[in-house]
Amino acid sequence: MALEIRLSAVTVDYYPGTAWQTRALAGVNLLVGENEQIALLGPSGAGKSTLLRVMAGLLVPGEGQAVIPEGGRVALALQEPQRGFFAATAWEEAAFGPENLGLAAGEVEERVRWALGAVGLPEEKWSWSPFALASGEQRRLALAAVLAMRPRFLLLDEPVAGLDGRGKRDLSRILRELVEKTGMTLVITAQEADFLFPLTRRVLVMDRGVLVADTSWGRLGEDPAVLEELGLELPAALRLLYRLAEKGAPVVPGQESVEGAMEEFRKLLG
Amino acid sequence: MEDVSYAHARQRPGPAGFGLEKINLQVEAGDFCGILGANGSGKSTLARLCSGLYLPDSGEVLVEGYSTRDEQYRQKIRQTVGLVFQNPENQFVAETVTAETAFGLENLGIPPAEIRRRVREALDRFDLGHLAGTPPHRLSGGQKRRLSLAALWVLRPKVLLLDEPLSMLDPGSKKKIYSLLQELRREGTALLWFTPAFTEVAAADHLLVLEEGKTAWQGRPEQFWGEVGKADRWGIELPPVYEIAAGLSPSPPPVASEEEFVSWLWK
Amino acid sequence: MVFGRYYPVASFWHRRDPRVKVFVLAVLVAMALLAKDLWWQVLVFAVCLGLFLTARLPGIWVLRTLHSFRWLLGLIFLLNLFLTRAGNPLVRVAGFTLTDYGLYLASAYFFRLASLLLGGAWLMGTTEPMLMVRGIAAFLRPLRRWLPVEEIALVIGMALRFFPLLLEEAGEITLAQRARGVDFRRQRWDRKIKGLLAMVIPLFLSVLRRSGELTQAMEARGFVPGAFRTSHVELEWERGDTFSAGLSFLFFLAGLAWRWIAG
Repeated sequence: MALEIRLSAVTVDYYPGTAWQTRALAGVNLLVGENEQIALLGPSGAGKSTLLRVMAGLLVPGEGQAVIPEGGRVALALQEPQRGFFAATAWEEAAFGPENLGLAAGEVEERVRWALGAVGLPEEKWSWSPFALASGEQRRLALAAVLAMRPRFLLLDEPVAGLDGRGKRDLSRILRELVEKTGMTLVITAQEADFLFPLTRRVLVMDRGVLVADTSWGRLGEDPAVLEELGLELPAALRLLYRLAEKGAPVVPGQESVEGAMEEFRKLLG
Repeated sequence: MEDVSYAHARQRPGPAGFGLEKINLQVEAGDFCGILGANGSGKSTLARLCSGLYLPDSGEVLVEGYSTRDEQYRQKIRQTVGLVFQNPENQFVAETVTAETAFGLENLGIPPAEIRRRVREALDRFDLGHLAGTPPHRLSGGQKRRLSLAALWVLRPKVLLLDEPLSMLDPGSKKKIYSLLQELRREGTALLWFTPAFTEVAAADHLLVLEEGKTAWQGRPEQFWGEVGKADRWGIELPPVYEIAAGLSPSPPPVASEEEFVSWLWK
Repeated sequence: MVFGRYYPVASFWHRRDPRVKVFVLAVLVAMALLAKDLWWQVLVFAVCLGLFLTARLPGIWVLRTLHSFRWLLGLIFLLNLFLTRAGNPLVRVAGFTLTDYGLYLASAYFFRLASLLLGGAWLMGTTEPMLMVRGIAAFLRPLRRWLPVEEIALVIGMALRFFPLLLEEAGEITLAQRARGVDFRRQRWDRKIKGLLAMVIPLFLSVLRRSGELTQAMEARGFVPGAFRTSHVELEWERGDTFSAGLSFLFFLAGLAWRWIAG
């Protein structure tokens, strides 16, 4: 039985029934299956974080239905995840998740070992306090803590906020390796399309609680007015292709992947 | 002509980062100076040294000729140098936008009527008038940035220390805040901009690269292209268009903007 | 939980100087403590109710405030009911003799506590937290020689300001840890303890970190604790304030006089 996350007409209100009531999600329908890599775009306040929380089963919709696989199959990493650190050692921090799932000690050890290795945290640091790690390593540990639950769906809320170039590159590499090796589904929100482009295929766009688009990178550029209105930007590579096309260059701007875009550029180099 | 200068400073290392060693830097009125460095390279420490929050272990930090070590001039320095923190969340002191903007003026003991006038002026300038009674943490990212700028601008600083001012903003807001800062610079405020992203300071008057607390390179942005190979080692983000160009040619041209890239590929 | 919440609406009381409102509440408290008579307590309660409603605060908040404190109110009522020996016996329950005087006292104390709660809700519902701090600070000012009044006012003000942020942060941390499988309903007690640590430690650290950054931010903008500083808000004393203060004072004197006369 293939796993899937299914949202039907999901509506979420914050502070329902009070003067402060705000509608965070309105009538969202979404189906996410295994081995999909999805970018979630939208201006701030559009409901992206709320959507991820519903998908992770952490928030129950006021209306509509969310069907989500259980048992740690869906994991959510919040923004600045290192704020959740509390354990004495990095190992314990990473082990917290799988322990909560009630797994046997041997299984826990195997998962933690794998997770810490997957994020590239050197073994000698596994016994260090999480607070003694450098900020880049802390981010990686926080990711490992989530990965140790061996999710089939990994949801990441603004994972690159506050990261420098090196941090972004490392994270990108780690995620790509994960997808290659395990076929994990990724759903990522970020302000930087350039980070998302190499990692994802499907693009969801949200605005004021509504899912306004469920498309792909190639088709996203077809309506530049919408993007402009929402304050969103295409990845640099696609923007460049559109500009070149405007100037009459023989390129196809609606590319789905980085490789495709590079191919188009190479055509011009002759 | 106001002359704001910073002389060399040296500080002991923190728990998980590098200290600073022998930094020499001079910033003058209306300058746009970029400090490039990865996280942990010492950018934040340098920013705090420049504002007088930290004192150097050796050397001096002079603001308009006054040393930050001098207790007497501390208030004056605080007024001259405005520090914008990376994460605006944690720097808001007051309950409402109005109160936040008024805070600095209140500390100077300025009469209430004068404070209210200057606050109104600042809120109009930064387009926050309609949010006057809102609690700061309820604002959007771009609005929060404008608020931190407004709250400093009321004090008429001569230098703004910007610690990654565009971080965590969506692309639209980034552009707006960038323009706003350039406007302030045209009005005579010097900008000292700390970031790991070259694109943000590509238009600066001069750049300094920090690597593990030391000055790895100084010069004009045009000259930076000569060192572009070291950007990776320094942890500096190059413009996306350049990265793409680098993927297409072994000796890519120094393109920082989209126009430059397009002209390069298609005449 | 509505107790302590500010309700932003335009009313006579909302416009009043916070110092007057603190004075009015002080008078009410004094009146409530002045006598044990049931009719007196009901009268004071009625006055509080009047204040509440003339401030255009939602009527339902009265019920919700009392409901929030139902355990305390119930305790006061039952303790007095069961433990009062004086008076004529009414009925025996569980080895205790309930008397008519006990019922009388229990009701009186019930209304007294209810009045105080309602009064507090009225003050906080009509006064923005920062103004309230200033109102209280104004009353404490004469004690400046023995207490650091300005600093206390500042600290209380900041606590009020950060409390909602702290709650929000706690919520975020709870969510993050739930995302790692913390589930208070289904786990064994030893997991629960770890789960609790997972909530408390990050929150504590977050508070420390925040206060550190905040201190820097305040310093960077020229704040010096204890130094002279002004405020952008000026408290203007209006006729309505004199009227309210005067009226409350008269009631207070009347109450005192009655008490003295009644012996």
